[in-house]
Amino acid sequence: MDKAVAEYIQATLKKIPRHEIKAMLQKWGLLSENELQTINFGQIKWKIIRDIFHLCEGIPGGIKEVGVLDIIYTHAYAHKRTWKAYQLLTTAEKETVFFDIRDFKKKFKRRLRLLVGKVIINFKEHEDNAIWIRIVWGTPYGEQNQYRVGYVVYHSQTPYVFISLSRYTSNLPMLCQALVVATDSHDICTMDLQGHCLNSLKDIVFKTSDQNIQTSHSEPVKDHSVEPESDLRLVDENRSSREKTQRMNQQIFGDYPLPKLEHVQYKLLTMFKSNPKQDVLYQKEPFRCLVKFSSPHLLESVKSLAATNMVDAPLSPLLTALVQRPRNHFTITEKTDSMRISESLI
Amino acid sequence: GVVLRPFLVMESLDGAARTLPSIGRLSWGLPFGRAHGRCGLSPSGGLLLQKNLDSQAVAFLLRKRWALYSVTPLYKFSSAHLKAYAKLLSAYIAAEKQNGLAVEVGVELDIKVAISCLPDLKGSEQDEAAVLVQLSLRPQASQKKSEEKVVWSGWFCSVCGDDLSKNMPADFTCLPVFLANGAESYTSIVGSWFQKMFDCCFHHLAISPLNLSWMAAMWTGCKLEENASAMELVFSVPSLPQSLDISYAIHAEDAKALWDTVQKTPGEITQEEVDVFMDCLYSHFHRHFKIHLSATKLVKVSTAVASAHCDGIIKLGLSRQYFIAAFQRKLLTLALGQK
Repeated sequence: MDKAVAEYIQATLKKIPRHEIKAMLQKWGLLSENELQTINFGQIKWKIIRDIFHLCEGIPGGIKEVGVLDIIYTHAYAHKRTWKAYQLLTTAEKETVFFDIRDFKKKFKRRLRLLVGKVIINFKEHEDNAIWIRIVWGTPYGEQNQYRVGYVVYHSQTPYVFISLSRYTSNLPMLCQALVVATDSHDICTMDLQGHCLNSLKDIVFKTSDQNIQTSHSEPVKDHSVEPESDLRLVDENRSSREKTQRMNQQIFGDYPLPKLEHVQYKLLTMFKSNPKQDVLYQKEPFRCLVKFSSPHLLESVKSLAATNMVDAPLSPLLTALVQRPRNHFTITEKTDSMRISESLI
Repeated sequence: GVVLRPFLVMESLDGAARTLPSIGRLSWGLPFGRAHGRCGLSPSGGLLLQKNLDSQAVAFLLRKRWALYSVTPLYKFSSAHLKAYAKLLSAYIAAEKQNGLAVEVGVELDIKVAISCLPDLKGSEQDEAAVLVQLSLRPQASQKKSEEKVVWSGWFCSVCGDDLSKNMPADFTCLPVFLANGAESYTSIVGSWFQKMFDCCFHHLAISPLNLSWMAAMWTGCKLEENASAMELVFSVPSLPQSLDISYAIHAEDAKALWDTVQKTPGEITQEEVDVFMDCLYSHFHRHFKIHLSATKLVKVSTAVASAHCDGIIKLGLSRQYFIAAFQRKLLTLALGQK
């Protein structure tokens, strides 16, 4: 292995907690069990890394092999990245076509290289039909930079793709095109859903699609009319209405553990409606706002917020949409007298 | 309330006993920030500053995070002796380092102290000029060409307080607001030296939600540069099992359009107007989310002009216009009001 490669191994190992290094190296499989036994995994981390570094220097292998170790790490620590959900759009008859992974890989690689030039691509298949793709983007000077890494997680039996590009979003259109070509789809669109917990995103996306299958024509989300004027009176709730609220919230949030999201964002392009008594701002243009709720566990927080008297019952349709729809980025526009949650496509 | 910094408390208890007048004991009758008070944003103060704002001397104040402190009047402080003070402070820092008290301060690196006046920074002609303290690392012998790197800065300023200067007893200098940027260990050393030297005491300034909403209104009303960033209000929802923050950002033009219809007399702000402004924003939010923002806690206000956090951290001058006049007046109120 050359020096740059060995150095990248070092950088990758540094991210892994000490007690997990051995297990991840075993999964990696590039170092033999005998070689691993020469390392004292009880010593402090930098010494372990130093010893592995020396071992790696002596074995053949290139940057691609190290990429696999990075995939193993990212698979275990997916929450360290931000993931965005995308949906591949296919025509009905194509959905039944048998998925050939070799064909997928070949087409994906060929198209991406055509579009972006020098990239390193690693694939790793996981047990749940998920194909993990790691892409090392090149620099304008042609060199690939191991620290400019993008990830794609594609579930071959579904139209869903999860992409984590971090800062290198300029490559997104090319990546999307390569995915469309490799999966024989005709387009790809963002689901406006993103977060750190990949499994939660999958839960949200897959659960929603299950529901759609069960009730093939599930009721579309209604346009909810807005109350004519906001009412700032804190309603003195009696017990029965409080119970009713709780029941309604129960129906919305359910009993099962809620998926984990960190934020929800609403772009408000609605009109400002002032209190006639106050005689302020009258403008015909929308009052442009961006509202963002953030929490370590957003849905749980919103659920507990809904139970307080800081929130009026029934829960705002904008908040229930968060649970009922597989997305956490919304654009809200005014439609005559009601608010509309508009879909946006890339 | 006022948060007393542990490192300042011992000194200030002692100092306060000897030091008269402390700011809190003088009644200057500032209506600002109190219910239904009325305050004129002195146009002269604004212009005085604006004229000079382009100078390099104040450029460093912009785009940095400053921690806010209130300071009682300095006893026997003279701006004629700034160079001598710098020497003394430098020696004091060296001594502290030797005593091993300042653990975080680099041991082998030399700290250079510079104290200077910022004559451009005052609200009115009567005000004391602001005083700037800067600590920088001397370049090491090995790096000949490298420049000195400022590692910490702090400045004392006075705030459009004509009455303050007039009423100040002899031997006292009123620079009631202190802002620090850099490691807290340096703030602690510099603060304790000033306390010893000038018999003053420092208090950390927290900013109440009420004052934050004043700042929101005040900064929103400032003339906009093109593509000014949105006015953002950050609320924290209390007593939930998991923390929940709500960020409510309003396009700068729309926020200003709203404020302009709320404000009755340009150049003046009343508590009632601030309340109406916030109520409007709250009810617009409620129309969408049915959440009463008034029941949550406003923790941060951020506009193109400046941003302020309830913990007493401010960031200045994302725009060069107006800000200091508006800002300093507000600071003064805070410094006085929280005693």
